[in-house]
Amino acid sequence: MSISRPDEVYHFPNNLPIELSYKNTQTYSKCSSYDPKAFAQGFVWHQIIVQHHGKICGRDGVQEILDAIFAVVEGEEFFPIAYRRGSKEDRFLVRQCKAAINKLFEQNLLIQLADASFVQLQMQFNVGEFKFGQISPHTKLTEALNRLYTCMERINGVEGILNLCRFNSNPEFVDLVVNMGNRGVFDTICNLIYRNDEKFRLVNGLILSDNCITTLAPLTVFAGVEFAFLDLRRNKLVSSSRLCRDLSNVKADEILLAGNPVTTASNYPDCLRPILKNFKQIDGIPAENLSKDYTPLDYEDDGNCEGFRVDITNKETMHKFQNSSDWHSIMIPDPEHEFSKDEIFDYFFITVSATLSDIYPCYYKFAGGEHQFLLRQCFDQLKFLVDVCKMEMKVPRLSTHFDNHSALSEIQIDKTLRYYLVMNIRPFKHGQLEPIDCIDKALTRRFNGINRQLNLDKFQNIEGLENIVINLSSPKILSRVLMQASRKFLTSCVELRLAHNKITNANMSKVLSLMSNLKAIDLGNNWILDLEDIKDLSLLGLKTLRLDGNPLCSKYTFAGEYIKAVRRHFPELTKLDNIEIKNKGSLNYQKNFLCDVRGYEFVDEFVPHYFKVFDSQERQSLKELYHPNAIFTTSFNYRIAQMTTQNFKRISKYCENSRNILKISDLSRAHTSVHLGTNQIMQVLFELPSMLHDTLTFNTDTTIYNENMIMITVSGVFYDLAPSMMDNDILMGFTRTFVIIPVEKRMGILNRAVKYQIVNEQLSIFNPTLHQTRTAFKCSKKEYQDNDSEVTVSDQEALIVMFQEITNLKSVWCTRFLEDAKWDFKKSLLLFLTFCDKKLIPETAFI
Amino acid sequence: MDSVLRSKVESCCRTAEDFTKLFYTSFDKRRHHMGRLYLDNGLLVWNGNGSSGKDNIQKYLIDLPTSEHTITTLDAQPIVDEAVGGQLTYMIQVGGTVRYADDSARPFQQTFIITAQEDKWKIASDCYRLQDGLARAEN
Repeated sequence: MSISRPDEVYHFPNNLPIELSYKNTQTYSKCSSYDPKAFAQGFVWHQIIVQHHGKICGRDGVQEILDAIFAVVEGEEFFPIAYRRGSKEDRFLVRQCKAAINKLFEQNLLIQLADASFVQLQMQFNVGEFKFGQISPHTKLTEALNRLYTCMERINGVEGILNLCRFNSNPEFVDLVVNMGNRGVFDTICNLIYRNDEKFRLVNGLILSDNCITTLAPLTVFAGVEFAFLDLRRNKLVSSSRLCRDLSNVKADEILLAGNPVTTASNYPDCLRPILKNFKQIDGIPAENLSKDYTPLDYEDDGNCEGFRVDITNKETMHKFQNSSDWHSIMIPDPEHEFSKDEIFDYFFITVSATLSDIYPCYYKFAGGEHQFLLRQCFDQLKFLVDVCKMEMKVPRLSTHFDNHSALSEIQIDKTLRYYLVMNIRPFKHGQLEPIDCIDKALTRRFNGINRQLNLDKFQNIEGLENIVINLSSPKILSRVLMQASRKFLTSCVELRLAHNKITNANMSKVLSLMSNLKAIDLGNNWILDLEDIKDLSLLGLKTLRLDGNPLCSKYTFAGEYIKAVRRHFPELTKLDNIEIKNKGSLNYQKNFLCDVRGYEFVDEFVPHYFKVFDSQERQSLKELYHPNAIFTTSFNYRIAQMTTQNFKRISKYCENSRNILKISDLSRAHTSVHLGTNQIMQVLFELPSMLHDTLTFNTDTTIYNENMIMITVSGVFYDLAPSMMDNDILMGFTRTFVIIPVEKRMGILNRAVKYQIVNEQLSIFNPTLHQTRTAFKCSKKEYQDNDSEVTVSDQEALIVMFQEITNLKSVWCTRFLEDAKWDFKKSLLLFLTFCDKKLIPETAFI
Repeated sequence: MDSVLRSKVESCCRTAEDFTKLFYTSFDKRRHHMGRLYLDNGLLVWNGNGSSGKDNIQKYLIDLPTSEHTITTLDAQPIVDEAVGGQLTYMIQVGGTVRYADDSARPFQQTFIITAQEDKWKIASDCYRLQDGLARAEN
């Protein structure tokens, strides 16, 4: 122990002073070695003199010097204490830190500044004795941390975020340089945090921003800890591979990396792929959304493994890879890029075996004239592709021949694609795509707990599946996905939507039976060819099913047949393709029939127009609707209750021109009751009494609608209007059939108008039934438009589709307009236009 | 009216008589043979429910309850050549009553398009409506 007076004394606010004495000091400069005994002398202080000769000054100068020193001691713990500026030289004290000092000696005690100039250090070992109570880095760090534990932050509703932002500027470190950019220092801090069990229990996150951190290796002590929040912004993280390595076992809900050099690299954020699964959000973006274009092939750390090419010449070498868990690549040369990704996968899935392993192509890309994608753990399939398919893929093509009038379509295979494999192209790494994981995330993302609906429409489009193909057209894979869903959601799912998934077979009742509350399945717009391919689902007791947009639907020409066929399998169904179905079997009644939806507009226009004119004072203006060769016949079979003279007169007007073949004794005279040509017909029509048709109760059956001919049968009731105040209107029933042909095409401004004329017409008049009498004209003509019970659900659907085509509005809005206009199409369009003018429709209303 | 059309009208009426007799006898007594009365791609619209193709039509008709039709009015006319390109085609409209499964008689109307195929008349389109739809007669 020294009894002599100290040469110098450093004072500290909260610590004992350090007394410097150069009596036993050994000084080194410009050398690369030292006497180890000098350093090993117990608890002593060493001093480092930075001989900058006034070359660097100002506050920044200190930082520059420290940066240069820390660059040399990188990796080793190093705490400069009591740094003092001087005009020619700076000085500071250190203790212990032998490893760091060794490194300084390795550099001949020279440090290199940012401008590449060198500064000489002088090392003075043993400049004073260390005494308990003097400044100690570990004590200071503990003090600072203890204070920060008492004021932890709350971020995004999570308590316990330890804030170490600009850690060095904490008041405890006035005489101590704490540089987290130094791995040793950062290690020490992390260990102090991690080992303080009592406090660390309360820590849910760390803010480490603005600390010049260069490596995250110290964070590995937190392996297995699940942080809520990890803020690493504005540090000096450069290497993504080191980042991925160091964070491979660190988990956090959210991690912030912005402001680090690594984020500006061209391969960012792809380079984070291996650790994405550790984090839910990265810089505020859900981890799944990052790095959509990542592929292990681009991964910088992969070194030189380029795989082993297998083609038809060396296919026997395949067996070597039987137990490999690496990625294998399928390479499909297509120099002209003739085929799209979707086409390639369609052909590929036709080619692979339906019974061997599930196959999940990953990381598809087209580069260098080749389609390429990676596969794992499906060796049997790869072997199948090599041995059975001979490394060829058939390209089916739908060819259409024109044979006389009909078009014949058939599938032809006149092209095959050749491909080869590259086995073990890259090793599989933790964090790369794993199908089960991907499916699980997709399921979570698409389950809505509020309406208990699992919406797997367009499954492939779900976020997170950009780089993996989950081919639901494979019943095996569909079954796996549904099994996973079933186990995950159990009874909480009541509705399952699977539209637009190329599904070919959904006989999966066993798989879905865990979802015992399932009541509705949407299988619309898939590739289901026959009801046989879904009939198993009937075991689920579904109430609602959607199948439209599947090839099976086109097997049935009319809704009735289709509904009947579906109900045979699904007797409990109450709703099919969004339409309520009633349980009446074949004795169903439909108000109208339309053989071809393209005829909707025409019929909707023609029928009301014809009868409106017929009932008006302008009946003669119907003339232009009749073809010069038109034929008109009428039969009248109305028996009147009270035959008065007046009534007889009224009735006879009908009888004059009517006929009943059953009552014509001489059929050679039959032509006399046939009215031919426009003039004759108009005369007959004109002689008929004034009428008022109840268009509301019409049944309109359009049985023929094609380019050559339209046939419409209308039946209903009309009033034979009272000729005077003394008389009553007489209600009569009628059926009237029109055969209409186009006589002139390409008319009007748009060249799209067509002129139609009636060529054949039959009118049959008879007594109304009691039911008809009761219901006729219940709603007067004026109220007609207001009555919406008239429009059937299928009419409404058709109207919505038409309205949508015209307006491009979302269906909800179409429905709104149509409902407001009581399903009157014209009114609804006018309403729409008014709304447009007034700018009352939000952008979001449009598709 | 020229004599060609006159005789066409006459044969149309004869055909209508013969055809409807055959049709309703088949409907009421030999329902399982009905399919052959329709064109291969014929159409039946029964109270607004369509079935197309003779096999489907046959199936549809077989599912209907037993019936007994009585015809009261018959009208027929040839479809003009402009519409059918010279193919001999008649339009027939029938009115009458029908009892389904011993129910009360109800009025019905039916409109056919029949066309000559080889030496047989076949139905291209058949539109059948009970005048009350399927509403119960209430007395």
